[in-house]
Amino acid sequence: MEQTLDVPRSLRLLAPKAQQQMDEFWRDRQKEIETTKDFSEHAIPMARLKKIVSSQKGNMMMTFDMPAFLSKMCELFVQELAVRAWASAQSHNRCIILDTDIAKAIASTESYDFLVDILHNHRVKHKSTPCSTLTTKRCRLVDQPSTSHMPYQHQLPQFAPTYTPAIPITPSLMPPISHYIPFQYPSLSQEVSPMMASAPIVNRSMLLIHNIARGLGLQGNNISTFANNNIPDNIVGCSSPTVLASMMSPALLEVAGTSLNPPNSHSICTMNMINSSDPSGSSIGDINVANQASLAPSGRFNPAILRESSCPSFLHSNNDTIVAIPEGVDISGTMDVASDVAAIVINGQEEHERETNVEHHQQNEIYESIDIGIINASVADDNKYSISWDELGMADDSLLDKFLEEFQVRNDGVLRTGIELHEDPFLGDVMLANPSTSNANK
Amino acid sequence: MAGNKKRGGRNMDQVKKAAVRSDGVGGSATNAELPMANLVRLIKKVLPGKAKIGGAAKGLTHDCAVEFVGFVGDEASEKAKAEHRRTVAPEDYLGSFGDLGFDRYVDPMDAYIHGYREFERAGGNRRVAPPPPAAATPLTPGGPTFTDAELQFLRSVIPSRSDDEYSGSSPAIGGYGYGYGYGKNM
Repeated sequence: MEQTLDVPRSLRLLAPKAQQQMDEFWRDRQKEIETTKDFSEHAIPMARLKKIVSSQKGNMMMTFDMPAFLSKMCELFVQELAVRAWASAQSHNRCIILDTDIAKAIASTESYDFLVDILHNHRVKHKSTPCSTLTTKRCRLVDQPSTSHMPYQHQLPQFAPTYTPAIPITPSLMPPISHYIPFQYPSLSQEVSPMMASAPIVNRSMLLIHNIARGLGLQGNNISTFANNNIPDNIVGCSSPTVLASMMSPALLEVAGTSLNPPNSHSICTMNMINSSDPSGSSIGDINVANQASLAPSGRFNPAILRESSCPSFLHSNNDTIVAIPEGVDISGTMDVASDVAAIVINGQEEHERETNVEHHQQNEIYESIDIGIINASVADDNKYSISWDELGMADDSLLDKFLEEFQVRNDGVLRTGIELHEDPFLGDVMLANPSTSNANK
Repeated sequence: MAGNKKRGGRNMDQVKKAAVRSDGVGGSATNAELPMANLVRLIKKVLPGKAKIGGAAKGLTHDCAVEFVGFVGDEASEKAKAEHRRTVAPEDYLGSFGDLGFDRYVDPMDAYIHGYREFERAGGNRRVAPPPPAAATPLTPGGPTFTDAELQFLRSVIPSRSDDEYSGSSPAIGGYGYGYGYGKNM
């Protein structure tokens, strides 16, 4: 009696003493059990507890002392729950224990998590139905399917984390250009090295004629193959400017007719006739010759440059036609003479080119001499002098414009899938012609 | 691990209870209920005199008690099955208390079951409602052996065991009584 009077005082004073109250509760229960002598009295009928347990696990059997054990276990649970609920009620200064107090007691205890579903069902019942025994029984029966749905809802989130999204891996594409770059570098080195090697040979050839003969012998085969490849391009290039010139003035109609009627060698001779205008000393004529010579190779590879150079070529062609008419007649007369006379004429051209190089230090003249050297090489393969001029031109350009050559070679290499070795010097010559057009335009 | 077990047990309880109650409407309803008056009496023992319990609180406490018995019972049954035994013993429940977080129950329930077994072992055959005599003489065969309360208890708990006890009580040999007690423990 005294203890019961003291308990409410401690609860009223301090709420955190609920834990101490629980400890006191369990100590009292322990002593009560230890001091119990008569085990025949049971607060809860054992038969019903036995039915509850056996209804869930029909296959399992129980020992003789299990019903008494269950009865005591249930008794302790109910009393513990009541003590916790009472502490909650006291915190609100109430003497009546409500279902909300029991709900708080369940929420505050971890081991009571399995009662959350029971609590949910309890709330559903009391919200939907008033307090009456008959209706509560019916609601219990109706609420059963709702309880069956609860575990399914709990199971749904369990499946979600099991699904692992598949991440697609895209393979990286290798650029085709990377394969060509290492292939081009050794080819460039091969092209540059013979040019560098040819430079000292050319220098020595200036001193002694015998050394020139040796140098020519080393590169004779390459030039011959180059000439064979270059002939059809020259024919196409020759016909286009002559046709354009014929459209401008009727005077060149005769020249076009002569170029069409004779075979390939005659068309190349017409180029020589145009080149022979150089000794006249007119700068306009020199520029025009350079443009026409550059049009032949550039027409095939760079159409944009052809379009740019077509306008100035029209203007210059008019001047050239006026200047070239009387000299053309003289040259054609010389061509009728034997081959020895032609050789002498070629030598004379070389002398004039040297004089122009000494007098004028312009790049246009240098490129002009290069073009003449190329044409001479294509005309006469047997002549050693013409081959030497070709070497000189290639050597000069290689020393001046190495980067430009490398840049253009790379571009050409990318466009083409396969590059042949014997075509490389031809590409080098094409690069030699392109800068002349840009310089001429400036 | 413990959390997973609890959740699994909860779902199993819900499914089985729903199945059982849906099958037998009237019977299962009565089976699942406990006497409310007994519960209220238990509650008032541990609370002050002025404490009162609301109607909704009583119903909720009842439902929680039934759920508690089923929840711990499932865990104990799983333990017995793991050891390949078809009989559930109080030791399985004591182990379940530790797994489910009811550590405070282990000591009181262990003391209780030991006391109960001692009680059954000592006074199983000579059960008397008044204080048991220290040296009880064997009763006459003609007189009644058990009181009405004891007979009802035996019938409600173990109907078959009442026959065993009758057969056990007829020979008043101490050694046979010891063997009978040993059999009960098993």
